[in-house]
Amino acid sequence: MKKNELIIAVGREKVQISSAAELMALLDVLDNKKDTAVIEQAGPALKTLITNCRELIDLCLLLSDENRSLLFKKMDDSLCQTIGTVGSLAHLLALLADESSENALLKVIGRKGLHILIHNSDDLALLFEWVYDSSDELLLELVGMNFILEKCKTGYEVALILQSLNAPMQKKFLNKAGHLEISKRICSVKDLAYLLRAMTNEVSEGFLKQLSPEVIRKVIRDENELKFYRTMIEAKEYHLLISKL
Amino acid sequence: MPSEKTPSGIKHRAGKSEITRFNGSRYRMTDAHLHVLNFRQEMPDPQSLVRAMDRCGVEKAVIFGLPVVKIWAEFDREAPDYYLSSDSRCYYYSLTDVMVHRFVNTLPKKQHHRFYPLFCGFNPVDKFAIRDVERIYNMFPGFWRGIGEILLRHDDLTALTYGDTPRINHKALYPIFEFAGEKKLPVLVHHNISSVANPHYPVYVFELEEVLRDFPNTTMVFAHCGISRRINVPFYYKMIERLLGQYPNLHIDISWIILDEVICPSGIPDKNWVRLLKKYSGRCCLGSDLVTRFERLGIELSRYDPLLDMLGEEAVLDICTGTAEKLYGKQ
Repeated sequence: MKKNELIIAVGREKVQISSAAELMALLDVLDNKKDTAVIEQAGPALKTLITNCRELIDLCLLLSDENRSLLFKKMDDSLCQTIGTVGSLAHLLALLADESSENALLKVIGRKGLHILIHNSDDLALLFEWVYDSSDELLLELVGMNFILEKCKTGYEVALILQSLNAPMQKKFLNKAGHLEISKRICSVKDLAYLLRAMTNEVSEGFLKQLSPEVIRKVIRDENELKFYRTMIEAKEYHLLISKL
Repeated sequence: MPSEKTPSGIKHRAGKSEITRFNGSRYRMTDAHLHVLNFRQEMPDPQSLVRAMDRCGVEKAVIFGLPVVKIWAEFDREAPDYYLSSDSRCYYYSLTDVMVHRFVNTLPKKQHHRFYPLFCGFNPVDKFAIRDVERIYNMFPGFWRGIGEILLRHDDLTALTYGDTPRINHKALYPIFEFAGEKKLPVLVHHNISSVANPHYPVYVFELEEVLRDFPNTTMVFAHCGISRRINVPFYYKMIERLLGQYPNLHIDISWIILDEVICPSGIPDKNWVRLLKKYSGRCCLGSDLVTRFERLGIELSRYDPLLDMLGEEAVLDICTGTAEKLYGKQ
């Protein structure tokens, strides 16, 4: 038997598998119930059979939600290494497009795995772009606000994340971060403009009301300095901002 | 080209949940239509094809690359792996034939007889194409068994490929068909019989017939019988039967979606097609049309079993091995 060769039995029949591609072909001809049996049998061998994220994605696309979750669990601590990069994880999340599968994936990767994969605010933004609702919350919880604030040193970088969240999640995010931490990151007109651009109306209104005139004056000395970013800012926000100058 | 990814949670549509389909057809076969390079011009380990062929009872395979390569466009976040993976364009890629040569030569000599290689890496709308054809033919003397799969009218692929619309009666191809006739090289062509905008009658059949009439000494193999996605020409079998009756130089290959869309639309073979294939079995072969992904050989070829079960021994022998051997087996 070749290295990595695995014998899978389905009913009375047996088949030899030596690659993720062969496993995928096998799963393609079986129903969901038999898929479960195959994944259970493959067990720890999945860690060596599935060598990259492309293979993992192809397999996931064939499986039911339950079997995807089972696959992630079986891959366990090798999952993060197989995925390899945050771009691949984002691609996987985009293709799964299902909260229960996304949550199962994120839970197995866990805080430790996410911290290995995420290097900067662009990485964070890329992940938040492809998750919704409960997965947004889970991702936020797993990554942790301290880690996020460590990676986002400017308002512009915070805005990259905010723009992928809906209004209730933006509120949660800002509450968790704390108004002071966000204010500290407004170092330029650009930071402020991009933050306002990323926030929904209801969120930006509340945010601006809380924002102290000192913070605003620190980056905008007069109306002219807003000229370049004027088109990004909505009329109501603009007037609120100017009134605080 | 069955390189499409199965949509999430949806399994391969043909057949029941059976492990046997992974191991291939009940019939021994020559796969007469197999791409060993993909749209990125990547070549998997040739041994993985030998392994798949052994597992699936495929003695021989007619292999070729792909004449076009997909661009990884600036706007693509992920590298595309199929011509429909993104909106980026494709361009003609001659190195594909050299890669096919390498594919075969990577294998031990005792395996070489199992492969019938074809070449296709030229621009079919460039009148210089004959130069490229002669060059690759002479570069590896005695190696090639035919020309193809030439990708001509091919709906989305045509739209995505740079250059003039390739079509079978393009004058740039005429010297190539003449060359093929002289050298006794069969020519495997993909030429949609109609356009997506006019899918209800065979708009482009006249282009095929023009060439069949102009080159009676050139053996043509009509890939997938001219079908493509979103082509829904009625009386398809009548058209194919007429063409086979009228042009003795015409052969057909049953591959890709022709089986599911036309021959066995509801999983049961159409009786008119069964009659046609029995009548013309000596001019019909079949193939997986895999674009690499050799591990799927069994799945693709086992799809033909319900059809083959209805054809009788003689026709099965022709279609599964005989015709391909007759077309490509001669040195």
